[in-house]
Amino acid sequence: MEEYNSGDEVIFNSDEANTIVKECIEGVIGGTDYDQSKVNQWTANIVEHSLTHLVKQGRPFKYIVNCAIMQKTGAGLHTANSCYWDTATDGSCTVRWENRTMYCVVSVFAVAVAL
Amino acid sequence: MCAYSFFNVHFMVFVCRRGAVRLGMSKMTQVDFVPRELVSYSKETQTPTETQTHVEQKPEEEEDEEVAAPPPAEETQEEKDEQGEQQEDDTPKELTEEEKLQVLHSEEFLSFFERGSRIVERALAEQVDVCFDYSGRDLEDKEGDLQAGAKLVLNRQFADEHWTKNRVVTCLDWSPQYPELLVASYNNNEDAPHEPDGVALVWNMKYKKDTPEYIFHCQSEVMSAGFAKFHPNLVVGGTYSGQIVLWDNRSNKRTPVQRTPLSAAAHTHPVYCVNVVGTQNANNLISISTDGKMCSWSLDMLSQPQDSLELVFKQSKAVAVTSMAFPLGDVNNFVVGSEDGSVYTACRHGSKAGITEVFEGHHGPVTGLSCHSSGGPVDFSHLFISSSFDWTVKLWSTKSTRPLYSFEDSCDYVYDAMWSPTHPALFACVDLAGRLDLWNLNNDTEVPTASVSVEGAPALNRVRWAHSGKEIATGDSDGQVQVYDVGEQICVPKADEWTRFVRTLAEINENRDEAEELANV
Repeated sequence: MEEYNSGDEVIFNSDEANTIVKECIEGVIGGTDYDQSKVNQWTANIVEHSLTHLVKQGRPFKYIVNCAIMQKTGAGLHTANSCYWDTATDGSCTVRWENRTMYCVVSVFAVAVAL
Repeated sequence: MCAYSFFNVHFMVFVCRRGAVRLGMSKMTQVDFVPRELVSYSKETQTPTETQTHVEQKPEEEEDEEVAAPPPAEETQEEKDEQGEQQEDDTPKELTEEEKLQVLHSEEFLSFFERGSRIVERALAEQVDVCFDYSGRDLEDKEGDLQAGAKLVLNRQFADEHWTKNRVVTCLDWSPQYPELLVASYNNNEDAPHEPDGVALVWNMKYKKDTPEYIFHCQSEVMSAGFAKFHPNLVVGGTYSGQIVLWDNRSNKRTPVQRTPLSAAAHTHPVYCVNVVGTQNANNLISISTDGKMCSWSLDMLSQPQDSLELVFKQSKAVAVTSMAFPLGDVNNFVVGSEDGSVYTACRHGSKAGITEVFEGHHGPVTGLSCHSSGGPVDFSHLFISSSFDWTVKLWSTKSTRPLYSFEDSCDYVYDAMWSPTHPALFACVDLAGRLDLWNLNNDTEVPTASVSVEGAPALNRVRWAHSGKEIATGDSDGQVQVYDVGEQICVPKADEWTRFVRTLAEINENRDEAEELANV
């Protein structure tokens, strides 16, 4: 059982989350080229690892992690997201990563758990 | 309301929290990946439909130009192809102002620019007639055959708005290596004190462009100039200050590459005569200034003369030399003309180095001297002519101190005279009234065979035959250089000219002796 810090309101630290997610991405697809057969694995791994690390922080948040990997073919891509939540405590962070052959976008949403 | 829940390891324990939860909209997050731009172009060619069957020259030339134009256009489009595929932003880097100035002043750019502009100027000035029919059918339309009857026709006139205006031509010389090059030296421009005082321009007869081939200048007025005979790239000038300057057309400089010192060892008076004498391997530059000092120099080292000689007559009178001439093939003996109206023979080396004899006869300063220089079956190298302010040109022989003949057709100062390099009995002279006279002694010794007046009657300062003997260059007091074509019937010697001239000379000698006898009686 894990316990949280008592009393203080927890605010989502997006920088920390940023770092965590980046490391995860690097770990999974850093140095590789886009491979249609492996890309399923990659997205699954990225999401799982990011989530595990975030949860390990032990903060009272609900997390939603989304990962998209797109091959570089010259096409354009545009996504947007918006949330309605407790702006004081909740937050999100989006990490863009690319190499020569692909783009990777990971979004993390953290919603504070109220009790 | 606090609640503690106990769950298994995978679940967490939460802390109770009081208060209402306030919800609001968060900032929108966007992710944008820009699509790669695809460069597209269209390519077209147009095959020429007509004019393929024409035989004449002009349309064919135009076609060649058209065909040449599309291939370069296609090439550039192929280059665009490669660039499009590369996906890199390879735009050329824009140079800063400083870098641009640096390039413009760099050595390579300047020499390229000078060479390039010379070539482009020539190309722009050419107007070649491509439809010329050599069979002569078209000539009937033209205004009669120009060369057949004409004796002296003006071919070119050289002047430059910037460099020759308000200057006087002081000397002319044709290049021995390139028969189309002519150097003209000019004195100072009184209206432009900030411009260099001395200018020498090399003009090119071959191309129709009317700007000089090379422009040289120096600090003091150039009184005499010439191409260095055995050094095709060098132009020698003698100046008013006594300095002798050397220009090199290989360097990009317009100023002299070498100068003699202004010291008592060299010249301190204006140098009116410079000449390169000798052979390919052993040559010297001879210069004489108006104080009678003659120096001989090596063209490699102008820092001090190899030899110098004071030309004095009878151990006391320094000769103020205005003109000098070397007979054909002679490097030791020469003749000089002086301001006092006398002509002297002198020699450079030997025990009697200096003035040898005096030839008196002119009543005014001697302005020009020319030794007979056309080689042929008979040697006339003892003859020379002199021109003078006394309106006459006199014919002399080095064998006699009195003139053989005096040509008195002119009514003004005669400024220069020169034997033809190819015709033994022909010489030209110019005078202050703007007249150029050609005398053929085999035809007539009383009047010139041909004569032409320059438009505007400027004073003609110099006359120089081209080495081919078919063209004459004259320089005038307005800074213009005129080049005349001499009709073939005048300038080309026939086979018997030499023998005829021997007879003419004999007649002249007889007449002179008779005249003397009559005078003595």
